[in-house]
Order: sequence, then structure tokens, then C-alpha cells
Amino acid sequence: MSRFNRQFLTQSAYEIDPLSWFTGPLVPIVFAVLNLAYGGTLALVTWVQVGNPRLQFAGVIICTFASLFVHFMTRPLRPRIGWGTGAIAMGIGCAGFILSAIGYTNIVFSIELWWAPFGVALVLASLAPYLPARALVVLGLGAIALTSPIAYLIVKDDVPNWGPVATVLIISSPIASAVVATAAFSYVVVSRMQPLIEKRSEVLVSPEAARDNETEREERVRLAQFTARAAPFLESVARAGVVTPADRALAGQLARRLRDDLVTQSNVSWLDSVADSSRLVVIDPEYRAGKMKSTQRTALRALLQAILDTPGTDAGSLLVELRSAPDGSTAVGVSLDMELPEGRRIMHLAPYYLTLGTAVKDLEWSRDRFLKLSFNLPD
Amino acid sequence: MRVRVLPRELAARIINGTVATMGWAVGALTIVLTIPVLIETLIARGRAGDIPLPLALLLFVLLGIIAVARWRRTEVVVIFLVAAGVATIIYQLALFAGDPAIVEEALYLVNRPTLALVAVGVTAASALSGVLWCTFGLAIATAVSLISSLVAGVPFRPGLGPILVYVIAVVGYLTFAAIQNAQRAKVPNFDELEAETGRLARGEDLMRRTTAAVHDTVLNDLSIVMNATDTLDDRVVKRLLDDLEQLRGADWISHTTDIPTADDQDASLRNEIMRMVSDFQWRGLSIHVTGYGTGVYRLDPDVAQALVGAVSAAFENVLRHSGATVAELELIYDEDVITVMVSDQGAGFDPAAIAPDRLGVRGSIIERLESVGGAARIWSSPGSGTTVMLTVPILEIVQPHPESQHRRNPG
Repeated sequence: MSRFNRQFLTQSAYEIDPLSWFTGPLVPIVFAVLNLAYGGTLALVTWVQVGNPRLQFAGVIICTFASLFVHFMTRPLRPRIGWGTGAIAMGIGCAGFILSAIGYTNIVFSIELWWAPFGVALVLASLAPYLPARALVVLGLGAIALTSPIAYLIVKDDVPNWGPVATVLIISSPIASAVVATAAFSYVVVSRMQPLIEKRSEVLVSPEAARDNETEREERVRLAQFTARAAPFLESVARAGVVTPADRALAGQLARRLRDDLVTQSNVSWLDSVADSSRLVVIDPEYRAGKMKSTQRTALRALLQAILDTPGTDAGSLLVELRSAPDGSTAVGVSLDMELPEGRRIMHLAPYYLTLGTAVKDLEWSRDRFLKLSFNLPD
Repeated sequence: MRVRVLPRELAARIINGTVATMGWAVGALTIVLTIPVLIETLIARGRAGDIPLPLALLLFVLLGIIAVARWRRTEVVVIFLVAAGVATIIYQLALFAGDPAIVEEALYLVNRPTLALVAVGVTAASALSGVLWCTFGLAIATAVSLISSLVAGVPFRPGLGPILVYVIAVVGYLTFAAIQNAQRAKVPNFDELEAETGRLARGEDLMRRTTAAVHDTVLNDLSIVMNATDTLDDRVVKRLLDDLEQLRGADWISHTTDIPTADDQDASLRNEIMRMVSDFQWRGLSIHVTGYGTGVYRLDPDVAQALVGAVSAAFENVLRHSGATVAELELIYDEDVITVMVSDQGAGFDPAAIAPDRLGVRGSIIERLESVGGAARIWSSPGSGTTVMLTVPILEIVQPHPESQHRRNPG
């Protein structure tokens, strides 16, 4: 078993591996359905024991809504959720729990079959991929601290077979189990993935491995193009051993043209190479593309390619602009005219967007007909 | 550095494996939380003296879970399921002894250890094996409850708890499996993308070295020629030839020396046109050249000579008759012909009014090109300038001129 490391308590499974959590069936949706099915079924089963079953169904719906809230707050293009969103989701779940407890006031019922503690546990489970273990533990224990005393005070006189300790434990054990399960999940995923990712990201893409005949062939062609006219001229002059005024004039013309070609060529970046094979327009007056790291280049290229492959895309309107920021970093903007509906657009581009998010800072997505996103590259 | 994305299969194995870890954690917690319930319930039922045996059995099951989490091997889990199953039977029989009503009044206490049997499996790499382990655990938990009820003669009450744990575990495994299945179609292959990034970086590096080498050799050598005396000394000649040899060998660019050298014939034609342009500029006609590309085209020597002659004649006419000081020369590349357009904004003339015996245009341009398979057309009118279009066949395309973005992407 690997040694305990506190660092792994502060990162979520989503932060460490966002790609695992954007495709369906989505975890919060699954737990919302489970909440509705289990809570609804047990509310029906205990119908005869309950004076006001509508409160039970209302509680079930509220707990289900809490999981749906997590779902909407964790869509791929939204900012990562934190303690605040987690607390709101748990607060909604606890409200459903307390509503259910009120529904059982002065009614003798089987506390073991009470759905509400399980409902709150499922809300916490919905948060498991998106919050670090530390947050899951704190929010879960907070939910226990909030709900157990209230529930105990409401139902203590109506539980004939159990003492106070057992009653509190029966009420709180589903949430406590969820705390342990979600924290274990988050910790184990982060602790096993983090070293692998760090090890992977240390691997340099070897220039030797990247060497290929096609690249070298292209470069030989480029060399031939540069020297196509000047080389035979220089050879003829060298072989003749004399220089005429016409030779000097031609040498001047060739030199001027060659200098223009070399300046143009030296200003071409890898992003221009991508633009050469597409209708992408690149604005990079300060040659910032050359400062991008390999990981950032791969992630941006993948996103641009995915955008160009998206149905309903006007590829000619794709614009990438790089500018230097006052702090020395590079601000990058990507914009495109896109007809694809928001949902399909997000799902198509999500894996590329999420991957880009691991390589850059301050990634933002604009929600309108035009696809716009911007991010910063650290200096 | 590589993209911070794990291969999907590896991520799937890790996530599937956590379900078992969660099972161990929940199983252990369930046993721990059962201990105070056991003590309080048995004291309340007047059976404080019966506490040690079921308490010891709970601790035994707890130790078993710790052992499974510690060693994580199939045989350890199987031994645990058998041993914990037997311990749970004894635990339930100890609770039933002299108090059969406990199965109805405190089923929650009775069936707690069976939850641990369902939850504790092995670290399953796949969802299917995870589901199978949970099913195996549920079967043992159900068998334990059945055996206990038969031995004690109490009603068979497995309870909702084990089934609930089973349902959650199966839903968890199936959800992860469905997510991973959907991802296989949606997540790009970042290994391939990284390889392509590496290729582009390598190309960029080669490009830098190429431009630097051309700058240091050819460009400097042209400068030497521009400023050289009429006769080159041996040292300069040697430098020019060494530089050309360096480019041909090109050890700096790669391990291969197979670098295409310039096409002499193509270069000769282009240089001839350039010399001509330079000559006319000295004579007062400024010529703007457009359409020069990086392609390498080979013409039949007679065709090349005819083309240069026709272009020269066209510029002679501009210089002598049009009154213009500026002319345009545009090269247009097609698959089988090269077209040269010579145009000016000078006085112009009426082509129909030219006498048949005038050799200037007909002989030096039209017939010259027609004799080598080419063609010439002239558009002109008084006061509107003149355009001469010269077309000759291409013998061979060594390196095609890159197609323009505009032509590749109409609209």
C-alpha cells in the first residue's frame, strides 16, 4: 500500500484527470436517478406508516435536485467547483432530509428503512469526482453534524427498538459511509494517477524519435528552392573566375530576393505550418507561438483540428491571435463562427478543451453563436 | 514534456480499482459502527453477558477486511469471504440464542456483517470482474443468513442492507464501464498528436538551420560577387565552390546527403529573364515582376530560348513605342504550360492596323513562339496600353509551384 500523502487530499479526481468525467452516463445524473428510485420506492413502502407522505416525496425531489445541481455546475466548460458549490449542494440535500424528518414527526416507523440519510449520502457521492478528499470529508461530517441531532430530536420518541446511540448511528451511518467511500475514492484516484502523470509529463518528446523522412524531404525541397537560382549562378561565376557587370547586377537581384525569402521563412512558426494546411488565420506579430511548450502546442493543435472537423463550422472564420501580456505571459484568443447547437458543440470539443485546460492558465469559453475562448501561457 | 493526460485504458483500470477500495473502507466502517449498536442493544435487552462473543467476531471480520486491504490478492479475498462468512454465522447464532425475536426487532444489528461480505472484493481492473466479485459476495451473504436462520429456526430475513450495497457497487461499476466505453470514441489519441507536434518541432528546427546555412553561404557569396573585382582570386573561387559543396553535402541538415540540387536549366532561364529585366531597367524601363514561385519547371532549350527572345522583344516594343516607363511581367504556372504576361499602360496601338510585312511583332514574338509549339496573343488599343500573353509548353515539372491558398479554397 502506498504511503499516505496529504497532498493527495487537496486535489480532486476531476482536476487530475478531467477527461474521465465528461462523457455519459454522468456520475451526478446516475446518483440523481438512484436517489429518485430509492427514495421514491421507500416513500411508497412506508406510505401507510406516514401521516403526510407528500413531505417524503418533496424531500426525495429536493435530494434529487441536489444531485442535478451538481451535474449542471460541473459541465465541461464551467469553472471547477469548490467548497461553496459543494456546500450548496449538500445544503439542498440536507433540506430534503429535514423535510422528510418533519414528515415523520410523532409517527412510529422503521428507522432502518428511512430513505433520507441515504439520499444525502447520494448527494455527497455526486460530488465525489469533483471535490478533493478533504472537502468531501468536511462537507460530509458537516452534513452529519447538521442532520443527525435534528433528526434525532424529531424521531427519538418514535423509534421503539433502538436506544439513542443506535438511533443516531442508524441515521448517520449512510452519510458516514458516503464520507469514507468518497474520500477513499478521491484519495486513491489522485494518489495513483498523480505519480503516473508526473512521470509521463517528465518524458521529453525526443528529437531523435520525432525525426522522420517526410520532414527531412520537405526541408531538402525548401533548401533546393532557396538555392535554385543562386547556386548555378555562383558555380558558373566561380568556374569562369571572372565577374562581369551583368553578373554583379544579377547577384544583387538574387541577393535581394533571397534575403526576402529568408526573412519570410524565419518568421514562420509551427502555428503557421498548421495554418498552411487549413484556412486558419494566425495573428502573431510578436512571434509568441514559438514560446509555447510542446504540451501546449499539442493541446492547442488538437483543439484547432477538432474545431475544423466540427460539422457546421465556417473554417475560414477561425482566427487565432497571440499577444504578449504585461506580466510577460502570452494571451491567446481563438474565435470562430459556428452554427452547431451549444450542447453538441460542447460535447464535441470538451475533450480537447479539457486537455488544453491542463496545459494553460485562465482558460475561458464564451457562450454564444461565435466560439470564443482565451487563455494565458505562463512566461 | 508530454500532455498531462493518461492513456484511457490506464485511467479506466485505476478508477475501476477504486470501487474495491471503497468497498473495503465502507465494510470496515460498517463493522466499527456496529460495535456501539451491539453493546447498547444487548444491554437494553438484558444480555450484557452475551456481548463478548459477537464483539470478538465483529473484530475478527474487521481484521479480515484490513488483511484484504493490505494484501489485495484473490486468495486472500476468498479466504476472507469463507472465514468471515463462518464468523458471521456464529455471530448471528450468538444473537439468536435465547432471543429469537431479535431477528424481527433488530435486524439492522443482525445483518451488519453481511454488508461487509458484499462490499469486500478484489481490486478489479474491469467492471465485469468487479460485478462478479460483488455477486459472489452477495451470494455468500445470503447463504450466511439462510444457514443461520435454518440452524436457529428463525425466519429468513437477509434485510435490505446487503442488497442496497450490492446495487450501489454494481451501479458504480456499470457507470464507470459506460463512461469508459463512451470515451473510447470521443477522446483523441494524444500519443499521435504528440508525435505530430514533435515532427513539427523537428521541421521548425531544420528550417532554422536551413535558413542560417543559406544565409551564411549563398547570401554572403552573392554579396562577394556583387563587390568582387573583375577577376576572382583562387581563394574566393575556392570559397564559392566549398560553400556550394557544403550545401550539396548538407551534413548539417540530416544523416542523409540526398539533397536535390538546383535545376540548372530552370535556373538558367530564370536568371536570363532577370538579366533582361536588369538591362531594361538600366535603359529606363522599370519592370515589376510578379508570379515568381518556388517551383522548378524544365523547358526544352529551344522553347526557353524562344520565350526569352519573345519576352525581350515585347519589352523592346514597350520601351520604343509605348512611352511608358513602367511595365509588368507576370508568370503564371499551369500543369502543362507557362504563361508570361507583359503589359504596360502606355500609348497602345491597333493590332489590326499593323501591316503584314512588319516583322517586329509577328516575327519576333508570334512566329518565334509558334515555331516551338507556343502561342502569343496581343491585346491593345490606342490610349489603353498593351498586354502580350506568351504561352510555352513545359517539358517537365521537377517541383510544382505551390498552389495558392486562394486557389485551394475557393470562396
